[in-house]
Amino acid sequence: MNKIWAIAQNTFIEGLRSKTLYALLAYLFLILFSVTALVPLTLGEHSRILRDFGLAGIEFLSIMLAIVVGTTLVYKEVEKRTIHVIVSKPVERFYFLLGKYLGMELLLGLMIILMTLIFAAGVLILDGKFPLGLLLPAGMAFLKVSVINSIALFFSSLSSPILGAVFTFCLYLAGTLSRDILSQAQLLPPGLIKTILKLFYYLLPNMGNLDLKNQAVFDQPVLWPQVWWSLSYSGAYILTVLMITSLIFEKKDFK
Amino acid sequence: MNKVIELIKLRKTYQRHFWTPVQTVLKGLNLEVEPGQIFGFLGPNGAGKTTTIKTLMGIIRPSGGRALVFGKNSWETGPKQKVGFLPESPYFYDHLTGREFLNFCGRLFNINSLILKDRTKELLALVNLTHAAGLQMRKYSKGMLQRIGLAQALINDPELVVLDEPLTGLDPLGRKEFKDIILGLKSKGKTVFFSSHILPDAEMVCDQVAIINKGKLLRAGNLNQLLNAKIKAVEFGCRNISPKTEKLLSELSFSTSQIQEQWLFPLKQESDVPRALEVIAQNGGQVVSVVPQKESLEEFFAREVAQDE
Repeated sequence: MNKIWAIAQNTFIEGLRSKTLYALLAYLFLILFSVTALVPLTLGEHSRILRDFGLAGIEFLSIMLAIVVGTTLVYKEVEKRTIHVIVSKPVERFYFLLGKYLGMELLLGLMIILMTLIFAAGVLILDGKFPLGLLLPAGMAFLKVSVINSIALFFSSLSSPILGAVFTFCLYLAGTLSRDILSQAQLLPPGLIKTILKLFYYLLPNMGNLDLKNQAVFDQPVLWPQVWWSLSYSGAYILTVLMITSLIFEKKDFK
Repeated sequence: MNKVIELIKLRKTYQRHFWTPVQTVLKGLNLEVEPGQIFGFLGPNGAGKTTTIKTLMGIIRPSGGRALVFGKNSWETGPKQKVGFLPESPYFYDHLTGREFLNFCGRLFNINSLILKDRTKELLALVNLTHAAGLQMRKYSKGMLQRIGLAQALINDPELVVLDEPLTGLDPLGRKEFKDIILGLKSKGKTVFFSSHILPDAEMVCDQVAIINKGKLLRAGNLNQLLNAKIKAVEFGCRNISPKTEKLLSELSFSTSQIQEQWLFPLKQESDVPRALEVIAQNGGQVVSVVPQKESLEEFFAREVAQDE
């Protein structure tokens, strides 16, 4: 466990000392822009607009961070041959992957917390209060980002960062549309195309399962069964992706 | 005695794509390293030295044969607990300081934090990097990276130290310090296995060598035995000699040379030494030195490789 934690800490420090904190700056600008430029144009809907922008911003920027940093995580270690130092020590390769993943989770978690604080400050200034229900979609954004992080790690172990980033982003987009894929499939008569579409639905990360933004924006009550289902679903998905990555990584030769 | 390293018919092949031809880098390599040896693993560029070392460190897997470290398959984590490794042209985490990096490496061996703190301090001093311990490694020179690389290879007080081209990138002073550290490891009973291009340096520290070329072993054995068998001449130095002595000695020599007062006659055979001494005694002159000229490791290496080409 100490070894996994050492690798996770190293990944976290590497992320912090690189330029990832710029994402935070970008978020700060987004909130300032929403408050100063958009809200005056919204005819009384200012609170909803800020919530929409704020929550979507947290999700989008952290997903981008997971994709940009996550897809370079293992690739950079292999390219720069720093992995030689780790693999030559008594560290199981799965521990290495898990350490990298957890380090990135720490970084993404911290970024989401900081962005949520900025968001909360914005809502507090505008509305004079901050409903705690708004924290839930931020938490769900972390679940989404965790799933994307595992996919980014998978591609980072297999391909170059650019290809990895493109594939991960495409999977993210397709994941947000996966419910539409299923509804399209249900309209089709039984056959090969219907089976393929259904297969896609089950393989793609179902981002719709992890979305609670609308309930929060419209102050609707929290549906806890949906939250538990989302937690279980994302946990199972992440574990499966990490296991597949580990299987591929186990016998990989490093140049 | 248990072998520290054992390569048995080790093969490694690469195929970049399924449509490109298979390239065989190691062709059934056999090698044994005993405990306490300083083993020089020599070969020209592309001979397969780094591939062998990577296989030994579990960075790549053999395509055939076996690579054993302390009797276990090299990719298993068990034997790695007793091994330290310095990769070729090391590149470490830019964002970490030297001290943080050593701490990180120590934690990968589950070393107790108090012991690790002392060990880090000790190793930074050993490789002369105490002054740069708090500096991020992105600011390190090539030589400094090599030094911190050696320090991390020793963090677990290993029984076997594997060094891939450890002397490359070091200035003469740095090379001397590295050689002293390697000899210090031997005096503590450690086994050192290293590859090098810098043969005179390798000759100074190794007691065993192996020469590989094109993925196969050409020669292996005790360095002194390999080189002692090849006394190529005896350098006979003398002064105050008469022209007659010069003529007689030149008949026994490959050539004649004079540096200031001193004459040098490289005698063709070791057995000519008594005759040369007799010539001096009968015709006058003063013997200054009688030095057997052994083949250097560099010459031995060049000859072995040339024969294989």
